[in-house]
Amino acid sequence: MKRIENEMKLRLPAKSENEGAARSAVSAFVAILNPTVEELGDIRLAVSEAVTNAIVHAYGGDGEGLIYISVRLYSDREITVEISDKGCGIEDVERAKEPFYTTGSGEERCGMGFLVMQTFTDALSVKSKVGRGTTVLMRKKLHP
Amino acid sequence: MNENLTLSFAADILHASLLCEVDHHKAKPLREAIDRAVFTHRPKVLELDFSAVRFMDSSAIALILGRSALGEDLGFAVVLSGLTPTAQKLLRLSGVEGRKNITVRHAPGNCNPCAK
Repeated sequence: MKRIENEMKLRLPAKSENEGAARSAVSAFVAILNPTVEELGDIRLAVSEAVTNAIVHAYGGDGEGLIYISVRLYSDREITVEISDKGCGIEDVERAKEPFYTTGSGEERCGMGFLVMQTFTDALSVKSKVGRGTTVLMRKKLHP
Repeated sequence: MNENLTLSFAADILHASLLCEVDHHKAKPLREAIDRAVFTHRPKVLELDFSAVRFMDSSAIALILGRSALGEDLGFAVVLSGLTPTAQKLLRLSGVEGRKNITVRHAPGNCNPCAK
């Protein structure tokens, strides 16, 4: 049975300048398992998309609110990254996960966030309640 | 002036060399600076050079698609160069390569924006 070998928790204000800090912190922690450059790049990308979604969509991009990140490293070299917010929530998660669907915030967005998270990790789950927030859980198994 | 971008214009080609990680935070000032240069120079080709970019997410794809749409309006082609393998994977996922006025230059000296 696999067990949690290591765990990191972060709490960041939902400011866009924290996007880089979030993905750097997660990739630095995951680097403990000596992943390949490609695996680390995939994780950085997926984290960046999830954090950006929280900043832009959950909190409306005004810098208010907090983003909670939890990273777990398991004994079988699986990692999980959970990114949560207490923002507006998503009314229709399945629709939001459709490729190129975007609510359009007035900025240039292409609606690829969930598609990228799905493509660059092994599994993605999204739980959301309108008015309560959203939790994104991503799993990725690193090379042996 | 944008410290994350170098712009040069010669022979109808506007060369924009991006010098930072391209995410949602960085994309807006980059596209504003690029668009200002586009309206100033009215190029026939806009080359977005990613060779100094160590990381980009879908915000970079939105930036590329936005410049492609502007190119359709103003009559310029978009050339993408210097993309990492991960960036190329992201590009394929987006379908950007299928856009009529976008050419991806995979190797130096292989740029022909007219050949689609």
